[in-house]
Amino acid sequence: MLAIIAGALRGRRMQAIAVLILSVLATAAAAAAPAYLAAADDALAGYEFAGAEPGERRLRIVQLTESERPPDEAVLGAFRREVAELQPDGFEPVFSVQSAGVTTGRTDSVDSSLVLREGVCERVTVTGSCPAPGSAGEPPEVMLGPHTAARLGVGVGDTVTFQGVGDIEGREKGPVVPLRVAGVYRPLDPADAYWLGDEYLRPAKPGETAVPAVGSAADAIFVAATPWPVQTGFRTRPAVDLYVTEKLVLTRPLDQINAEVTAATDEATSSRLGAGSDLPDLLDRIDRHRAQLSSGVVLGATTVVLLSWLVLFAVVGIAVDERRSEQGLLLLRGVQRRRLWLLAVGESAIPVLAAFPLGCAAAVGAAKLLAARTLPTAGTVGLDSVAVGFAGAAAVGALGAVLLAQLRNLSAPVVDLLRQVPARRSSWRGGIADALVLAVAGAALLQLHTGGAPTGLALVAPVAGVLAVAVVLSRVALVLAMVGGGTLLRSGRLASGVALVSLARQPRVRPLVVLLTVVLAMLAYTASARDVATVAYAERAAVETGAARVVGVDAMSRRHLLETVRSIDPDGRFAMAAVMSATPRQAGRVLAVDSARLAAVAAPHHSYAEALDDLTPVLRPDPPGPSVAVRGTSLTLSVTAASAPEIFAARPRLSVSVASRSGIRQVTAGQLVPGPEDYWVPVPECVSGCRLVSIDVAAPAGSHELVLRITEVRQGEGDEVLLTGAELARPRSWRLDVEGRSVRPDVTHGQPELRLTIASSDVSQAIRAMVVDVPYPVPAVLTHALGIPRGYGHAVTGIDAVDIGARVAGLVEGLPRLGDRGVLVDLEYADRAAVGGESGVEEVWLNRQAPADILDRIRAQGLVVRYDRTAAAVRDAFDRQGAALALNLNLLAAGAVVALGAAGMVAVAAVERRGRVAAMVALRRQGVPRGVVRGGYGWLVLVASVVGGFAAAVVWVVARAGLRVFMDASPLPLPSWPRLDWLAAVLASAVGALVLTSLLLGLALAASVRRNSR
Amino acid sequence: MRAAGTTGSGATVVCQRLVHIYQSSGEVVALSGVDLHIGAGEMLALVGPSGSGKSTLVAVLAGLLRPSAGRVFVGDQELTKLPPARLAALRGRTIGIVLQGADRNLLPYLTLERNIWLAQRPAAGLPGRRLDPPGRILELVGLAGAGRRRIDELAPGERQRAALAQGLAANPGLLLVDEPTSQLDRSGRDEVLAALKTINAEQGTTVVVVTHDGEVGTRLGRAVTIRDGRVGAEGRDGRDYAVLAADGTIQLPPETLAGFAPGTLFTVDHTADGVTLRPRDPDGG
Repeated sequence: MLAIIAGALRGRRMQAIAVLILSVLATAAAAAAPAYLAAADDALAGYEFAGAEPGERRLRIVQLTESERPPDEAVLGAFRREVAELQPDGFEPVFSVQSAGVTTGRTDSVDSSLVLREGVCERVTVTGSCPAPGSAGEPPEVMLGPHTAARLGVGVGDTVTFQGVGDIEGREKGPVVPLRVAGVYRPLDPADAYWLGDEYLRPAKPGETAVPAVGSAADAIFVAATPWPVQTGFRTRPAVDLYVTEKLVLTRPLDQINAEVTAATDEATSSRLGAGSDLPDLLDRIDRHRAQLSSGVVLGATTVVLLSWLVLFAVVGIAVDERRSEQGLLLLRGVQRRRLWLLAVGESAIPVLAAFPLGCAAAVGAAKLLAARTLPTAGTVGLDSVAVGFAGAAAVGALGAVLLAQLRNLSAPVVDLLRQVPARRSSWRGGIADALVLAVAGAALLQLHTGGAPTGLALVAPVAGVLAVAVVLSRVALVLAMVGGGTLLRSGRLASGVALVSLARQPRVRPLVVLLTVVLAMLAYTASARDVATVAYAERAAVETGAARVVGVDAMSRRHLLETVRSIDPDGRFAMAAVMSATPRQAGRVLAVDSARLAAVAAPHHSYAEALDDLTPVLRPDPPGPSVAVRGTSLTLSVTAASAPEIFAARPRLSVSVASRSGIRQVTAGQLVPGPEDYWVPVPECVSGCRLVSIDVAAPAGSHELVLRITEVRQGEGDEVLLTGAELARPRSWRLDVEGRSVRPDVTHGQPELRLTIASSDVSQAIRAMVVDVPYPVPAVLTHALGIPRGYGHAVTGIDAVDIGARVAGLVEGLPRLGDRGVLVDLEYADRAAVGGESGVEEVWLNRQAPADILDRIRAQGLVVRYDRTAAAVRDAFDRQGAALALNLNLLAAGAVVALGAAGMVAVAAVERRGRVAAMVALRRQGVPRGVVRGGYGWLVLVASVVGGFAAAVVWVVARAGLRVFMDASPLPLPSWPRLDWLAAVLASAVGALVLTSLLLGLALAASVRRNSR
Repeated sequence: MRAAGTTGSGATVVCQRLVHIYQSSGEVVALSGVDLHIGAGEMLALVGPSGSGKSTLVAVLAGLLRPSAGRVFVGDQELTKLPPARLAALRGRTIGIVLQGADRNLLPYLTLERNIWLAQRPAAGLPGRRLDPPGRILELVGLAGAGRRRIDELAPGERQRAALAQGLAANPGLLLVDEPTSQLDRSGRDEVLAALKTINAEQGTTVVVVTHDGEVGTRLGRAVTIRDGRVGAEGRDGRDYAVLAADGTIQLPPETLAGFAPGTLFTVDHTADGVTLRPRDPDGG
């Protein structure tokens, strides 16, 4: 038996080599997938871990109640014991304790915290020395940041004082404690998670610095565990930061880490401690990256493995047909069928077994290559039991494909095998196989459309769908080839006719048609997916970033932001101020922009529907009245108040809100008294000009109404009249902003005065008489998705986080930054409508024309740069996500299967060469011209191209729902179809390669026919 | 085990009213009532044109085809009643078959010795069965010393004799040889026929040769002509005989038939030295 197997292997080297190569390919693809995934899992986790926010890397447990003791070892030790049982295994704890207060030096004071934190000395360079534990009676040593030292005017060896913010109730300040400056520190790596972002290294305040710098004068002041001269008067809070390490994330199941964090949080909460962490967000991100990459790799590897099996099936099937008489002979000689099976298994198993180690080795090489080319960070590639198992499964599958290809002959009657011309009969096995493929494809597509995220069988829905379409259409195509070939022959077109008929009459050619169809269809599908993703990444990056470049800043005020940007770019060519509210996306976030510049600066996108230019007049209609500009250090209001004594006894207060470059400030004018009175309000920030926002009244609860008659407002030391009684009395110059539910105050006009009648109420009320210098409700452009018709009013959260009224002045499909859900308003108008000084996220949007030194210019104007983001970087980040990697791998796999298709053509041509040559020689001897006997492989490619194109289009329509391009939900719909130029280029190169292969095979066949015809 | 009922080492072959109809594309009657008796150790040629049914008859004798009707005996085994596994065993042990085209009888990647060894496997170890070593069998067919060669290293005549050796490997009682001389020149044909005679003489094997070459039939001694699925004639000792079938029919030689239209009536007259067939006078005489 072994001798026969050895002889067969020697005698059919080409087939054995084909089986070996294809089995290597299948096992390599199968083993490379888990090997690559393991490396990718680590690399993706490492990449995400490196870029994680500080809060995502640690679980913080804090003591909820503050201690009056100084930040010393006693507080820390007690806390250590309290949380000892709460710490999850493997996390690295860093304990700290801190007290807030004011530190005073020679030249100034700063609000800062005294911090005792483990490990600080190892993470800084120090001028002087790290604070050391002193002895009782000596001032505790501290270590200052350079900005703090500069602000305080102190250096190493100097003394500063610290005064805590007071007792727990906040009534009394703490004792003044002298501290000795032992050193001035600079963090070795400010990005180290140890520093917890800006928790210890505080960002500079706007207007303070014009140069990029880490930290500010408010940086933490570090102390050692030292005895303190006083033991009370502090507000000290101990905490522990439990850091998750990269090693832990790479080695421990994410679910387990998540469960540990949840358990620790729950236990801390039940122990009356505070606990919080964004670590689950990081773990969730890693998990989704891995899942998406995994699904992509599964599809790519499955495609390669399946097609390797298919090629094996086709090649071995044809080879077996060529030697069917040999099997008949063995049966004739009395060899039992089971031995025949053993011979077939043996002949195939040896190359498959030999392929196994080669495939595993190739898998490691391929996975290493892929990892190096595709992963954001280097990953360790190796073979584990999973990879070996997958390789084994692929090898068994390869053996199965080989045996399946022989099934028909191995079970055929001896007399049939001995026929020199095989009987043509329809194969029920082929029908069953087709039905099976259709069933699997149907189940996969059904699961894809009903199961939400594509998992399990749905992962391979595209290749299953393509395969199903291919097996059905290949039957149709071969029937058409037969009919068409016959027609061509009858019309005398021998070359095409003979090619088509010989193609259609080869029962074993159908797997090859299916193979090439699947190859081209999968390439078209994956290329489409990759292109759709490329476009989607660019579009989403452009929309979500808003402009080519966006610089996040801290400004003193919205006015500061607006004026700065306008001064940097007076012509509005490249820069625009913008403020984004922090409202949740579903509620419709509000973006306020300097609308006149929007069209010039924002990155365009077709979803904006209307030209951004057209939005400017919509967002900025003429205001109903001018702003009230204040210039002077004070305001004086002439007010006559009237009410019952009990109301005045409850101390009603009058205030004024002004908006200056440093922000909106509400300044108390004093307690209202009965009768006429002048109320003086200091507004030093208005010396260089500011805007009157509102006149505010805080009315107490009571059973009597309060009536205020404001007859004049004057400004400055010279009491220059700012608003006359007549101006105050203009009914359209004021609008009331009421806080409180049970009172509806009345404003009465007619007299030269602003008259505010505040009805009685059982609750206190805050009334604002706001200057109407902006259309109100504020005109806004909304996206259609919010579902509010044009002209309707809509309450939105303003950029100061206070609700304002908005009127739907325009509707669009999408908006820059906001995508399909959001509200766009003009920044200047939104600022005028705002009453709070807080801003949302302040940004400077830039287009590509922005000068290179734009950050310096921004800083020079007192804005603090928080981040600098570009649409290109965001797009690149999308391109590094698991989904993008998966799409790249799929495209790579599709390219590999094109090569596999070409190899399949070559292998089939090799094994059927003898029979084809004999048939062609016979035709030549019968006088058929030379040009007719060219093999017809080109027709094969043509049929596969047509069928494959159709199959790809069908599967794209039914399976693209399972396409996962992003890790999260995108605010933009994916493009429905890929760009045709890109797709055509990819397919043309693949078809070209196959056509070239077919030409070479045709030439080789013609040469053989010539040789054998002599 | 050698089939019982053999004469010497040869097996008797009996066909009784064999009928075989192919059903593949319409009904094709390949054998329509063949009666044939071949004695043990006899050499016989089945002669006839293409499509006459001779290859079908050989396939039935080899147990490769189960006839639609009739009975076939090889030795005392009735092939028509044997299950496929027993038929396969019988082919391996009792019936040697040499297919048309020498290349189809030998595995090209094995040496002649290995091929013969492979063909001996089913019979190896059977009680009472003596198998000649491959070298001896090759010597029998005139290929002494060629055991290490492969088929592609042999001349056409040698290939055909190597195929015969393969058929003989298991020392069968019946050797069925399909067109052994069809692609050979005269000297090759002579070599093959000589080898067949040697086999028959030395082993006592019953040999049935299918051929369209009438001269081969003549040289083998007994030639049975198959026409339209029937045994039409038999030539023995240099003379041609018509054969009486079990159903009472006799096929007349083609040259005799040429003188009569189908449907012609004959009178059968018994005479002292036999039977005379006389066509009916068209005038009623």
